[in-house]
Amino acid sequence: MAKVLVVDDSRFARTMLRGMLYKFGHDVVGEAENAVQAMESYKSLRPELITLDLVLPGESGLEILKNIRQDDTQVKVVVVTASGQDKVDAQVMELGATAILHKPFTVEEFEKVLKGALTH
Amino acid sequence: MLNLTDWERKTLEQLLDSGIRKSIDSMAKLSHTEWEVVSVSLKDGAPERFLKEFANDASHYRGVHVTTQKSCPLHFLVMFSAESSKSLIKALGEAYNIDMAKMAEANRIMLEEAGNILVGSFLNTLADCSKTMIMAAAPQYREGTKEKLLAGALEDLNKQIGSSDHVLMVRITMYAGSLLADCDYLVIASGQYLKELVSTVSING
Repeated sequence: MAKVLVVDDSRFARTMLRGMLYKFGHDVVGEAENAVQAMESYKSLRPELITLDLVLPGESGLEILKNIRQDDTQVKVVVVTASGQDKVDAQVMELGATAILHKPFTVEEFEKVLKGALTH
Repeated sequence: MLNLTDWERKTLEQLLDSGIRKSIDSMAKLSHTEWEVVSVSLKDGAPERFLKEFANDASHYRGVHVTTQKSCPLHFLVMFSAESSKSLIKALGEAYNIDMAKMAEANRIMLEEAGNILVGSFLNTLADCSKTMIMAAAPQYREGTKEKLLAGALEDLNKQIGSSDHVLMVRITMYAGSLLADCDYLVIASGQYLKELVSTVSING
């Protein structure tokens, strides 16, 4: 069981991810809908895994990823985004994401990426 | 009329077709139901011409407006009738085991997500074919007649590109038989921007 922080501006996505994470036995320790909340929650909750959207109000998910990696190279970060562009994916991996999951996705796809990230 | 060579027009049509197919596939995956394209039309010219297309429809629609970063003048409008949005929201709630009755602002939340997915897939195609990066802004929920929703999007585009630029509008009508839901999906863009985009494109099917 992992302590997970869910970062997404979409309430639908947060609700869906929370439901799936609980189903797989993980503990959602926090949710954030913008960059400021994301960084505050990350620092105070110290999750083991973060699901991170890229399009957020204020700073983008790419900036958040950069900031997190400057602080911690071990925390698992799964970028969950509707943007499946080659250049975006390349930048996300370059910035140190553990994995990328493109929306929309199935429960099975999420489970596979999650397992892979946690054993990375 | 937008001045395009035969090759540019053909490439633009292929690019749009590919983007539409990706959008439909994503919508089907999201809603766990098949969607089909009923019609696609491509128009360019003065914005007033586009607005006329919706002038006789006084019905109230729920929609989502999605824009992209400043350097890519592309606007998207995804519009559902009240009945269609109700069907879609019910389907999404069932598909992801979310009790919509308990969720405040369910219309806004679900339609923003649907818009995000539809537009995201379209942009992925455009970006990959032109080897660029096109980031969408967070979707904005809108309500009103189709004419009013389009007028708002055109005004935003106009502020971005200036009134002298040619505007191009693609109208896609989609339908999900099992939900009895339809969707009007509009892509409006600067003609000049699309012409420049097309010049960088390589389509691999």
